[in-house]
Amino acid sequence: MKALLLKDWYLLRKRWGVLFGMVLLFSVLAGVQTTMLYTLMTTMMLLMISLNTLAYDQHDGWDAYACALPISRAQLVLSKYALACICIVISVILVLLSTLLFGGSNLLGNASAQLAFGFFFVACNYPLILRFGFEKSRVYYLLVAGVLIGLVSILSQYPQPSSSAFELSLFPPLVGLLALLASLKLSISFMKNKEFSET
Amino acid sequence: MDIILSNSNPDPIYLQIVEQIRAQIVQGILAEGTLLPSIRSLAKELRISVITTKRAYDELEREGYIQTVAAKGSYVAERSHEQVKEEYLRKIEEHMRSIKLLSDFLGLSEEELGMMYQLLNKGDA
Amino acid sequence: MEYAIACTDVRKSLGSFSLHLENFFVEKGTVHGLIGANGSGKTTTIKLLLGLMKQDEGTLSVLSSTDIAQDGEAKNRIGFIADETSVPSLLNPKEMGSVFSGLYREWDSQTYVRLLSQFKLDEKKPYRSCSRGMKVKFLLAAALSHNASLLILDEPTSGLDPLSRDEILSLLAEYSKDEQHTILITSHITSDLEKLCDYITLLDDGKIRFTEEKDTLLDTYRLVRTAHASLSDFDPDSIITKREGEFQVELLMRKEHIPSFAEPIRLTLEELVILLAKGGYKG
Repeated sequence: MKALLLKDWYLLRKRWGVLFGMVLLFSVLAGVQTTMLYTLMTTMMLLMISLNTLAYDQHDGWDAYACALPISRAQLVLSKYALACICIVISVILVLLSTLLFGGSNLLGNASAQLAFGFFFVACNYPLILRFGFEKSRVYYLLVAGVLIGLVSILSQYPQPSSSAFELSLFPPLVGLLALLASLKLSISFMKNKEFSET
Repeated sequence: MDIILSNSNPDPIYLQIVEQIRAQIVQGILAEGTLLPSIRSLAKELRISVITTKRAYDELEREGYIQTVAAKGSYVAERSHEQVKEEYLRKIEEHMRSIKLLSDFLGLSEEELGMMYQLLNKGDA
Repeated sequence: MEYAIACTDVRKSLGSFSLHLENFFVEKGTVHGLIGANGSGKTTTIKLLLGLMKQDEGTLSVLSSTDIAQDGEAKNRIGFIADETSVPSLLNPKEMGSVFSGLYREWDSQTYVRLLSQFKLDEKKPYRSCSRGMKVKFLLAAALSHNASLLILDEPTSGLDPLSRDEILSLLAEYSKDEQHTILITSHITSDLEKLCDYITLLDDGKIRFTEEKDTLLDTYRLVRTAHASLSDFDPDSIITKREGEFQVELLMRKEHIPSFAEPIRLTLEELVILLAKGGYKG
């Protein structure tokens, strides 16, 4: 799996200078602003980068090529999920740093929202993209992204009882993680049965 | 060792190989004990199938011209020059019997037969 | 008799097309050519053998593995070029080398680098910037650099200039000199396979028409040209295929059936296959 992540790293370093720039921009804005929007957009941007490697894989015919290599299909799926998680964590760190730098607040709330959003985003979208292909799922995942961002933004506005702030913060990411694991299992079974017959 | 395959030759390819290697052994171009190329190298060099070269070597081995040692390869068989000479002498004797039959029928003498042979040689020279 | 590939009664349906490999065997240590027109099922067969598709029925074994799709270990020993599959287009040979070394158990970077230089491939040039010929050489370099004992190649020479084709075929001939090495190669350029293969299988509309030793095939049949008027001199049962032209008639016959007054002409593999297919040859 390390080799697969290495491959994604090679892809990323050639291409997404612009996207990285936007990521930095959003994380700065996230630190400066108080709304959840830019925070979540930071995570979204990084997830887009991760998704793009998947798009390239499918477009180039690498996903088919890889299935004839001595790695299991489960590993292929795992590496995609791993990359997405790495991106989510990076987005959390970036917003954390930015918030500390620009004197923002709600560090825990941000991290919690980002993790939850990120996990749910991947959990909902990846099985579909792996099964039906990036192109066909495009509309769908943009929709999911929109809905999730809206949801998380709305939920984060509600005042939270300060005593149980920590536990409350932990809850959404944990649920998201469970969803992610379930989604991983589903994706692996999709991949195991995938046939490369398209001409 | 040279092997030239011909498309216009009606013989199957493996036979062409057998005949050419056999001729080179008989003429002494391929000395006794010479290691022949492996069936695979020969096949790839001549751009033919390895099954064909194997068939050719099997035939040569059957006729006693070569010997295959496991894991080492095929060699030009020992004393094959002698064996070939014997074989050819036998064939000449056979032909002589046929000639004798025909000449007896005509009532040719030994000298007349001898003169015919000399004329033949002069004609070729 | 050890088989690198064995297919018994394998069936696969894709929409209106159906593939049926009743008996398809590739002996270990041989070069086996699979020929057929576009759409005859060559690529489908390759995909089944690489585990990119699963058969609907029948047993399919590659290097003794009957579930090649899930068998990662067996794939360590298979080098391949398959249609619609490729390395990431943005990556270059050097980067792919690093990736492959973490994927194949016996990745041989020395051989890889040597092949890249032999092919004159720029190791920093991304795959998508390469010409068609260079792309194939890139993939072939990868296929030959992990001690594979079986090469499965789908149309590796199509779309290439004659010089590149010859280069690749020579390399494959060199590979096949080792008796542990087996090659299955498909092509619709029959002349490329003529020099390389030991066996030929003809696929037509998803079915195997015949599997024959290549040299036997070329040795058994001959072409005979005759005038229209002389056609009656031939025994009709001995004519496999008849091609009537304006000024002559061409007959495909077995060598031993040719009458003494006729001149037998050897055919190239391509001509032979075309005529056999036309004559409904069933093996």
